[in-house]
Amino acid sequence: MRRIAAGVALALVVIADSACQAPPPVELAAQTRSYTVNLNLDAASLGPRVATIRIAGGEPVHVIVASSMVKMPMPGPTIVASKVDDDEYEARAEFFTMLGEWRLEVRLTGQGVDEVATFDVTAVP
Amino acid sequence: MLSRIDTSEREPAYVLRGANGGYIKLSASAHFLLTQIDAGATADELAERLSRDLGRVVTADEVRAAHAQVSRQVAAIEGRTQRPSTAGLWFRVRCLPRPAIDWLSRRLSFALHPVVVLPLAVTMIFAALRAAGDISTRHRAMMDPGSLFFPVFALFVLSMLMHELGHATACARYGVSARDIGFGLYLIFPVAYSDVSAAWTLTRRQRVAVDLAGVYFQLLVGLAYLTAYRLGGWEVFHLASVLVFAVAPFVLMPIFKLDGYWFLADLLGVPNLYRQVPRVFHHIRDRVRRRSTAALPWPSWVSIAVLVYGAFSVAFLALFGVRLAMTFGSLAASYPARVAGLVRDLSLPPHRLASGRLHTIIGPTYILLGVGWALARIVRRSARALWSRGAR
Repeated sequence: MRRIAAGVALALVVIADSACQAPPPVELAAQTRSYTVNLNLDAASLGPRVATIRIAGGEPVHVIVASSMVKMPMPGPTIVASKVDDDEYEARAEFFTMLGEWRLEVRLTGQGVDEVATFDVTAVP
Repeated sequence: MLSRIDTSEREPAYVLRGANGGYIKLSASAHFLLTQIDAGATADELAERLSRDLGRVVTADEVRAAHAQVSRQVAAIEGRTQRPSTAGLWFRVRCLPRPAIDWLSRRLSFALHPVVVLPLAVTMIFAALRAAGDISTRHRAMMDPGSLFFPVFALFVLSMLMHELGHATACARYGVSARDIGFGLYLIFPVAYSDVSAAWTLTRRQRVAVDLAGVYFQLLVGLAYLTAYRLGGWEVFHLASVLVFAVAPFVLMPIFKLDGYWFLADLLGVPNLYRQVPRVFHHIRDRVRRRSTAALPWPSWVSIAVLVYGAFSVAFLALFGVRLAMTFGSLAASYPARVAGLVRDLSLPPHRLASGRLHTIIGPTYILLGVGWALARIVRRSARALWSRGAR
């Protein structure tokens, strides 16, 4: 009985320790024909996420962020990012609703040319 | 009670129904001994007859010993009072008692009339193909049905009950009764079951019909759900129909003891198909090594089919085992983080579960508990077997 109690206590400590450590932020970069796109996610995890996009090489009219699972036809939300600085945009949404490999697309529209920067992200718990 | 069983074996075979309702297969020689002695033949007469038929000397003492052994086995079987296990279920709960099954089966038997089956089967095939296309477009809703989860689940459970009623109805159509219908656990899978052991007394063709009637009835329910969706536009019926049509191929897979297994066993006329696979392997091994071996009881095409089935099963189960072990390992490793995610959702603002969070917990918990429990059972059984072997 004492061993079981010790095991349960150890498991609770591990879980509490993991819960305190939120998944780390993710920083990714991609190059389209006209733009250099840097994507910063506060975490590649389930729940409400903040995607910060920095764009160099021009100023698109719209910046749209869309997510979808890589290995199955499971689309996530499509969000229009709002401009927060000269070259910085922000999108808030629950981009990941399952664990596993996701693809984030940053669609940049402007000057009659649509370009897409693609980022592969693994969603963790 | 002894009855003839329709198999593809060259010699006739029989089943013995025990007091507990279980059925045990008897060989032709065991049946011969029992019936002849019961009819008043003496051991000397039988010894003389067997010696003549077999072309070797059989003594009266051998006949007496064989009869005593068979009688002991029969008495043990007939004396069993414990309810026989239903196709490997280790847990079961009865939902429908026999009178209710008989009542429902009589009223549903029209659905198995060939005139009704043919057009419905064609319609179902088209609906199933359509549903296959919907699986990809409705994937997200299927994976995360939200508030529709419980209604969809309830409709699916209803379709499973109808599946089992399909088996019972086919039995009733051919003059035998299902004993009960309920839910249970097979390996780690929750399943519905119907005890149709009485089908052993039917012909092979009738048994095949009993095997397929379950999926047929379930697909009928799927078709009804699809019709309700087309008429009313209720998404819950659409998701339930897609689920029903998606499950049918799994049920017809002949590996685990699901409908596909019984269908194949009855189609080949080989009862206890799983146990016959090693028998065929051993027979071939002995033939290759030029050892003397008893002839297999079936025509050669059936033996080849059992061999192919065995090879396929071994390959499939090996892959399944490896995959399960890998999944178990990765789930066990990630489980603390999954629970931690749940704790984080609840403890940090806005204090609500993230979309898909429960999915990351419920399924893995079920798999870890189920596989862990199954592994513990296997280890305990193996340890007991080793212990008893060592003691001998």
